[in-house]
Amino acid sequence: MIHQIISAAGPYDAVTRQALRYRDLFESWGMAGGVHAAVIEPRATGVAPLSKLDPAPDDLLLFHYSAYAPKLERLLEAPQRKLLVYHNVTPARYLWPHHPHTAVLCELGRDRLPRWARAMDAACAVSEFNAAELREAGARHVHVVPILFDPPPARPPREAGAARVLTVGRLAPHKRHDLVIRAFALYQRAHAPEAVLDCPGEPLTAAYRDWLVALAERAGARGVDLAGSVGDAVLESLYARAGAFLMLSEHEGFCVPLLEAFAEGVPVIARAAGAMPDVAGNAALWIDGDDPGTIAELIHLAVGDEELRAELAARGRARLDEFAPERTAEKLRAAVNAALE
Amino acid sequence: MRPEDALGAATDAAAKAGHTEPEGLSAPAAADRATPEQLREWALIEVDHDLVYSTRKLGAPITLMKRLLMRLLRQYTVELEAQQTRFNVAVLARLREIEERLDRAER
Repeated sequence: MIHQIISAAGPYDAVTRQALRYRDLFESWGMAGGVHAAVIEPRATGVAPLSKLDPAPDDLLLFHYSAYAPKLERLLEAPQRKLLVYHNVTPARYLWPHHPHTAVLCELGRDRLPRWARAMDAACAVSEFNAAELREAGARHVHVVPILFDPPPARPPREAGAARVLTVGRLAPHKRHDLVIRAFALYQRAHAPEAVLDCPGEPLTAAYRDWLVALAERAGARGVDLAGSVGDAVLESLYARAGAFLMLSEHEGFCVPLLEAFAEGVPVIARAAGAMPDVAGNAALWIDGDDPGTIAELIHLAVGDEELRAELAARGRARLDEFAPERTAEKLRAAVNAALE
Repeated sequence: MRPEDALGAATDAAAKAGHTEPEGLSAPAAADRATPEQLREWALIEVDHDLVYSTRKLGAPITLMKRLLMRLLRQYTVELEAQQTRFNVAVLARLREIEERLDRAER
């Protein structure tokens, strides 16, 4: 049996979702144990409290690591075999001015990573970028196992013209929604007065959301929708209507929304940062600076140039093949076997 | 256009368009070390009451109750904030004094 352990579970939390998806896979292998969390948000389902964890001696404990987890540390001494899945931890420098509590969890999370890395029988990271951090923390034989992603049926490339720009992710400073809004404001002013910008994602704090709203006003951007957390159906409809997808984050351990955009055939503009180049390869328009004018012109090209859109859609489909769930399942199986050997 | 040519084309188009923005839109850059201004700002402990909320199904009344409790306990939390702020400000003052002495010694 494989028991999964996470520090905190939430209804829209990427790590929680991944643990639940893993559980389905483990079930198909006849190895599914529970998913346990030290803290469970009331809206989260399918997760049991840590106090209910009762592994047999031959079971495997699989830890998803994405933040400081003091309540899980006693399990480092458990006699069972252990496997670490490293999802990365946001550097605290982005969070100190906005949310000290989260910043402390991130700072300590990075600080304690070596202890976790050394206590495991095997380790895996969801990207080569994360694997490099794990190796630096002292982990040996790190497996790269991407996020288990089930793409929806691929859509044919859509015609140009939908001046609807989408970015997906938590409203947090490292995601750089501020730059997204500034670039969108210039694009709207120069090329598409009716354009709309959709930014679904839970805000880090209400104050940070208010700051982004005020920034949009000062930049002169209209039609900016900071909708907060949305369910799968709403998210799918946002992708279906988007003319371009923008991801200017400075730090990503994987970035599932890139794959979601590829699955929907939406052209992607992204910053070459963190694990994003590993995930998107040659299927995105890459930026490496902070010039909102250049990004605005890239949006214009991505929305309006048919040849460019078709080529990006074809490359996006090829990237999805790289991350096909069967391939990822094989890699995960190899990591589990390594932990059990 | 091929994707590989898009960034160059966009850079040229942006230069040609001469996009302008209102002043003061840049977000402060994230730094590994806090600036002296940030330390002074953080020294003053003042917790935003909007951070206290509930995400449960009946979150609104629970949020109200939590905030009511905070109001009832205000004497205690204000004193707590004041004592922590006193310590922080004193440490900052001492830090500044040490920095000045170090500057003088290095000259």
